[in-house]
Amino acid sequence: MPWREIAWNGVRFSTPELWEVVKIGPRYLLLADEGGPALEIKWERIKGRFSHRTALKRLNSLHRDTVQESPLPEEWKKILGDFTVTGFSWQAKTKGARGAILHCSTCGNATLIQFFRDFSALSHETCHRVLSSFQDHSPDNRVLWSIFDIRAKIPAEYRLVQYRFEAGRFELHFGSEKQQITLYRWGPASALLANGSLLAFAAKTIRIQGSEWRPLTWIGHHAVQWEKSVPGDLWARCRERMMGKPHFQWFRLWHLLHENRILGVGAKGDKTFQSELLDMICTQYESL
Amino acid sequence: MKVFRKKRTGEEISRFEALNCIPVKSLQVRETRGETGLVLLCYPIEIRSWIAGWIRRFGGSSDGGRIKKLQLDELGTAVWDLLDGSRSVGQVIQHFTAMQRLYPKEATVAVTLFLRELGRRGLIGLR
Repeated sequence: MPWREIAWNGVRFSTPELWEVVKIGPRYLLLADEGGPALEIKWERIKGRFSHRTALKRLNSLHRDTVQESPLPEEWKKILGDFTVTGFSWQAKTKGARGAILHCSTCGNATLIQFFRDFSALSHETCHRVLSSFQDHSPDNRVLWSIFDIRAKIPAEYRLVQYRFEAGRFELHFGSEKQQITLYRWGPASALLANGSLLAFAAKTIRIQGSEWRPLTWIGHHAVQWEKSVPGDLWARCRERMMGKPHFQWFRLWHLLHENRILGVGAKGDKTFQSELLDMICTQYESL
Repeated sequence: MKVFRKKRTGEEISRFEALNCIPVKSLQVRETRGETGLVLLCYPIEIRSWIAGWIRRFGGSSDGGRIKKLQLDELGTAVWDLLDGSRSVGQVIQHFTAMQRLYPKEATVAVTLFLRELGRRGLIGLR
């Protein structure tokens, strides 16, 4: 059974490929297969002390007093050794679940993980593998984002501000103070570029005149780039600021011929971005 | 009591059943292919009698039916061409996913929305 990694807003874990993300929130994921919901994960950064009992009570009220604290299987205890854990289960008329509430003392995250199945021995292995792959913070200063068919690494100081997943168009907006980074993914490229070049597509989609884009080759892919920086003199900067325009704006779009996708990275802010940072984000942004 | 609750018109089918349905093109649809290979669908629409009366009064045709046109784009044409009366919705999605190298979930959403729109216009029916 093929597996894949999902990484979203700080947490990452592996799941069977057949489990699809069907519901997504800033700190919430629901995965399901053809048989219905399979896995739910929600998490929150806790300031101060975390009470497992209160979390369990809150969960109990959501499920009409059917939630019971239940001892964790020995295997789960071993693999979740880095967390303070409380096991639980609940059973309603048509569905039930078994899961755990985790608290990580390193990053302060509290996570609720529940599996919506009456698992056989094989599925226990599935749970085991999902839980053993679970991480709620990254070891370095880069946060992995891997959802649907995109994968990227973004500096940890950039928080998720907004996201949009529509058929043919994905957008992820990240912000840090007044700096903003955006990831784009469009597809299928063959249809989008049928009546014009990548440059024409970029001009139409980003709404910047075609003549201002610069064609280039980016890691072997046909690409276009646009950059605007307000001149250094004080008057020009004041004028732009009064107009509400960012000091620095930058876009790069590239065409992945084999994957039939167009990827793009945008950056804007009151300070100029280092080109090394933008190149690194582009290098680590891929379509799976 | 919710007075304006939406009435359900028929039995709801499961996702599995919906994917197993076979879309069939309406016999009333005429398709023409342009130079670019894109399909133009022409289909008759029924006009309500009181609207037909108004059209007649202003010198329009009096037959009560009009021809409407729908120009499909490249992706729409690709899906339309996959509707051969034997492939199920699920099979159409599979073929479309492979043809366009799309993410399966994304193709499912796009194809089902497109088929729903064709169904709403009476251009296809589900068997």
